[in-house]
Amino acid sequence: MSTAAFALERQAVMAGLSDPMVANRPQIDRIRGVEGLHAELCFSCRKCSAGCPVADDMELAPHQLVRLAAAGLEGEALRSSGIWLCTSCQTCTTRCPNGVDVAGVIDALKQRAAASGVKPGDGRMLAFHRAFLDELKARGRVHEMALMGRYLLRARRLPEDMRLGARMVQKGKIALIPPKKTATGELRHLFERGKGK
Amino acid sequence: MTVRVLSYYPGCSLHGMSREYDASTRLVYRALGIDLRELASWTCCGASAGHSLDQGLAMALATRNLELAAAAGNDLVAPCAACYHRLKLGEKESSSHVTVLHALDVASSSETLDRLRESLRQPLNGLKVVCYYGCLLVRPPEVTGRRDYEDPQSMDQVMAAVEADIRPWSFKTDCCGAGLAVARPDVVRRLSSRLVEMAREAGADCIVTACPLCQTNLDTRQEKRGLPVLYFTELLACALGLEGTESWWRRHMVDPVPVLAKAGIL
Repeated sequence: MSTAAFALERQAVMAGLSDPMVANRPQIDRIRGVEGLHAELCFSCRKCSAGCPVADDMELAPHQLVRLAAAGLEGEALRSSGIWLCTSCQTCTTRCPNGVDVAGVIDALKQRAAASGVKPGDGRMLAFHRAFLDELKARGRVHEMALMGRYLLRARRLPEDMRLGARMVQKGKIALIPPKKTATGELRHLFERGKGK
Repeated sequence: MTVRVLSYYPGCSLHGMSREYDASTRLVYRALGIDLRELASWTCCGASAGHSLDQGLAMALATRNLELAAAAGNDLVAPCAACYHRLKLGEKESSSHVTVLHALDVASSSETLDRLRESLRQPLNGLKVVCYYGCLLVRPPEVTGRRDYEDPQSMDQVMAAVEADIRPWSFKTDCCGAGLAVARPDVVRRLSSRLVEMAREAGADCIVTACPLCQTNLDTRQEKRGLPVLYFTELLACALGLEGTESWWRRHMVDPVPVLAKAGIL
């Protein structure tokens, strides 16, 4: 954890959640108080981070992300690569003794990071998610070969494991020809509707 | 004889890289008298991209598919753990009366287990297996409704019904890293190869899975000599002595034929 993040966390803890200095800080769309997530119930037992399969790869571990969100200090969390490494395996949410939806908090951070335009801590994962939705919108169902192409365009880099990809094509696991489109008109409508929110 | 009719949501992977899971699911369920009817215009559930970027869109994608199932009038079965999870969330939040099931739920019902025992042609007792459930099939219990989420039993029950030699291990629900496969294979390789290593330590000849993403990750990210990773439906097809399994094995990265042959199954 960086010194700055630690200072922020300590500040948040020391200040308490009702401190006006914290409450009045200008923030991007607070996660604290989002229905169903219960970030404010965290007492930092770190059980979420202890069971997290990728906590060691994150510069801010799940319990730290939750604390920052609970205190309304999301800036550093939004820029961290940790949120993009989360596999959404739900171990944290399942094991939290206080019923905090930890994976839900991290999803909310990802959504806000993507929408706010901050430079993502791991641009590859954001590019992958965007490529996936591009493909979904264009075809209705995701075709793996086309998804790789869209990832290349979004990330401006080749998928990391090209040798494996080639072997999967050779094995016939990844098909070269995409399927027909399904319900794309209807999906375009769903995508547009989501944008207004 | 048809005993149950269900709507079927294969999801993108079963029409793509995991066609052997689709084929084996259809074959086995037909043999068990379960009529799977694919929803004609199903669309992608959005997977982790959906809920990572747009909560409203993610729910709308699930709801759209549930509405198709509601119109068809049957409960909905999904063989992919990620699709199942997204649809199950949709079921919770929408007003539709469709119940979303995972393929394993259907296989582990007491009627199906009886049927499996009755129709068993080729007991799998020569095959040492570990059952791998992964994440989204079991967690969180508020979504999946499972009470045994830390030590799930449904796949064990199914494998026991066909007399496989089930090895205990503590990694049934550890994450394989699925969603990171394209952009961060470095992380996935670490998570998946540890699972394979632990399966080997438990004395298994193969890992049994119930999700196309788990299977693909474990099958493709093996660092050392390979341990085959099979779908539970492929093994059920063998146990029931069904025809048409040969073309599936070629699609595995780690060839399962030697292990199955050694166990006297092929």
